[in-house]
Amino acid sequence: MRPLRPLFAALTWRRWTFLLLGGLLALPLTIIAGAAASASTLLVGSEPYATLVAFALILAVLTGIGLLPMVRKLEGAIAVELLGAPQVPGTNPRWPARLRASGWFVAHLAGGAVACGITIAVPSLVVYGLLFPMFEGEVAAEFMTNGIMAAVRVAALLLVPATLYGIVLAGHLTARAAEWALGPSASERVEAAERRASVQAERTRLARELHDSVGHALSIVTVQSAAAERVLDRDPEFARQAMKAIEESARTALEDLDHVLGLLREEQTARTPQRTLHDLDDLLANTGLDVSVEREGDLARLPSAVSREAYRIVQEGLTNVAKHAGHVPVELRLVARQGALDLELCNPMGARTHGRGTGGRGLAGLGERVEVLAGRFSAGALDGRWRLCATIPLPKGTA
Amino acid sequence: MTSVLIVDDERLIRAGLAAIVGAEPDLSVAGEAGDGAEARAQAARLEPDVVLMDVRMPGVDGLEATRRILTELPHPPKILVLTTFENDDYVYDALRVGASGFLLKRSRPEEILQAIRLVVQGDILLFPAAIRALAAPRSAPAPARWHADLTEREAEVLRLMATGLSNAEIADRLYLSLQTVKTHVGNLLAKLGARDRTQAVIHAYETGFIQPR
Repeated sequence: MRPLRPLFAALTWRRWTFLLLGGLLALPLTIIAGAAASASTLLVGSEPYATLVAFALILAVLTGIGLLPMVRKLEGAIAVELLGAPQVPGTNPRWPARLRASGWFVAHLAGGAVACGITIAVPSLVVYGLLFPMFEGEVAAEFMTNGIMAAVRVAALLLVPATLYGIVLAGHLTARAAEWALGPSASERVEAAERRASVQAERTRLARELHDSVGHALSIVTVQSAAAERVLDRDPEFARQAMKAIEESARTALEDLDHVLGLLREEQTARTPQRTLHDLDDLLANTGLDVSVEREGDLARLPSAVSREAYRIVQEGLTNVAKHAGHVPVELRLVARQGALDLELCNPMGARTHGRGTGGRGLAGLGERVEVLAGRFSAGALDGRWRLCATIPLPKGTA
Repeated sequence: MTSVLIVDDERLIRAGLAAIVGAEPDLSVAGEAGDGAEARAQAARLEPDVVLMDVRMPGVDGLEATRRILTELPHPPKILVLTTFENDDYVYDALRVGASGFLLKRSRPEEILQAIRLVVQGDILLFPAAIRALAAPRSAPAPARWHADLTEREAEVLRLMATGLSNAEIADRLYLSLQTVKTHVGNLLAKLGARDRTQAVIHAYETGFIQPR
């Protein structure tokens, strides 16, 4: 029986419990409100006016309580558990989100009071209606036709399904409202999506890195050892060289594996917050390289995605410098101009050259990510200097 | 004697494969190439029977080189594509443009040699299961119309081909003479415009004529 199913669903009754909880919270407040109303009667004098003042006072207090982060957190946790919504409680500390949460708290208490009232009143109403009239002389005899008595009983019976489906509907609407009032705001959702996308991009990058480095090295190991085994007797010199190649490939593979696993571990321990150009000075202090920085424009006001990417470019670039050129002076230029951020990293080539190693792949990864932000990226040698350039366009209205 | 051209941007892979191939009495290494452009030139100059072609190479990659060799040479060699990993889109694309099969670099030497010998004979589909797996996500749900101009026998031969049966095995299965099967195979390849069994079978999967699952 499909129409009956929601009546037996645990969720329906969990949601109703949620509303009843609001009513329980409201109960002491109602008592206090009553006391406040009589107190203000003394002060203000006229009764309807005093009730209004008391009511406004209570509303203000409740709104204040609702603004507390603790209350929002609690409401969020209960809502997730009992209402099944929102999926994830929002944590945006901005005012619109906090006001929504506060409004929710007030509405929860008010709605809860109504729910409690219904829970108590409906059973008695039904019993009363069915036994109507309970007492002789309760209703003037001329009204007591059989028709009216039957109508009252039917109405009492109809009240049962009406209330039950009302409960289903109320739970449904409350859950909907919870999504809006307690769920993540639009900007939080965008941020979450951005985070997911960047995690995905990172995974893709790591997969490619493993494919390129470890896969490549192990292929060499397999082919070379197979060949060495086959020609061992006939061509011992080939076999000897093969052993050497195998050793070196395996070592490179281990190094690369170490690097990728390091990235994975890093991701686990320091997933949030991701670093941005705000953390640039820390980065520069920790590289041990001599970096001269030139900054132009308001770097602090860059969008976080751009700032994050710029930080990673600088980080990867400096890692490469340390790896390939050794201890050389580095020039870093960051220019936040109208419409774009320019980044330039220059260093003399040093004894070791930028070859085909993890550095090259790291650069390829950077290029791809800059491309995602619709920017341009280049890296290469020019006149004995290694130069890495990136331009990332800014959304209109920033920097 | 089957001559083999080995193409890979990694010198160590080339040297290893060359040693494995060169050690066989019935196979010889015609030459080596480090990228796709060189592969095309060497294939034209040395006229090998088989090319072992790495797919991912800087510059002209294995896919493009395969296409060029197969379309530009008057008597193109058979091409076996080399790959590090099985689920590589490049490999599938190479098979579509006419590579006869693919080899994992981690294959055992016997498998590599076996593949080279089989691809020269050309009467058996290499790695039918792997091709089915590669084609599965790209296959059409329902049979298309293209097979209408195949005779029923030819369609049957195509289906058996896809399972990796050789001409002789197909002949046994269908109670036909080997010569008849060869004629059917030749006819159906011509009708499909396929270079070889691999291309025909991939085509059959993609159009939904054969369901990979």
